[in-house]
Amino acid sequence: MAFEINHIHLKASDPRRTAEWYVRAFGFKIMSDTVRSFGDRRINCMSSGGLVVNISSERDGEVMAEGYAGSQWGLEHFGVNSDDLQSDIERLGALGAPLLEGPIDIPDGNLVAFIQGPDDVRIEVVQQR
Amino acid sequence: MGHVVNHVHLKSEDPKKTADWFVEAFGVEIRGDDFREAGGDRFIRCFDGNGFNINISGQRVNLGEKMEPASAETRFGLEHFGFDVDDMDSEIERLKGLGAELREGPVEAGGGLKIAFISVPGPIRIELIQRP
Repeated sequence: MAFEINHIHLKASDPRRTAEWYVRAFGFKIMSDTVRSFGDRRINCMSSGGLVVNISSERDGEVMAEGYAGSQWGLEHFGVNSDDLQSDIERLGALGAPLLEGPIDIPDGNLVAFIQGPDDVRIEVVQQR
Repeated sequence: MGHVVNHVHLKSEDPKKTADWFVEAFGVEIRGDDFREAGGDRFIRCFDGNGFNINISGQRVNLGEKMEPASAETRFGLEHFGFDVDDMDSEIERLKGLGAELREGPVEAGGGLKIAFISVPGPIRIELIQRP
């Protein structure tokens, strides 16, 4: 039996602000907003489709490297579906998420673009075909 | 359809080796292994036990893609993802046997939840979560 992904986790210096961006941008629902024993504020979000996305600040004493929205080895980005890529690129741009790459018309595949979300998160926006 | 989170994406110099590691470590299922002409990258489509998509691909050399190094350290932005486990201690030992390193924990995270962070080949930061 395969293991199940429990959540993906974004770190932000202002997690509430980031969470509210995802509410506006992608219809996330904020399920809880608590300060944990580790000293971080953690906002538990439910994305459309059911995947949990946690957004939290640094824990007590935690040293954070910067985010990076370019291409990188390892965990690079996550993808969000779009019904209309072009209008979403414009809408997300107006919400402060610039277009990084695309739209790319993948032969025999999807129409995709990469944007830079808050905290330098690389997000792929995917119009499935 | 709405804005469903569609996948997480890992980039690897050897996507098949990475995918095979996730097959062995977390039982993900490989459902696609293609060479993409446009990017010149190998693209492997994996799925977790819930049918959630984990894509693993190489460098898009045909697009001149330049890659920054991976990081399993704490950082702002997209930092990690987590898998549920039934038995934290035995999973940590098993995953260490597969080349993972324990980075933090296990610790009690409240409400009987037990968590740990490991670094897996990539390196990639992964959280393990044992629910009460």
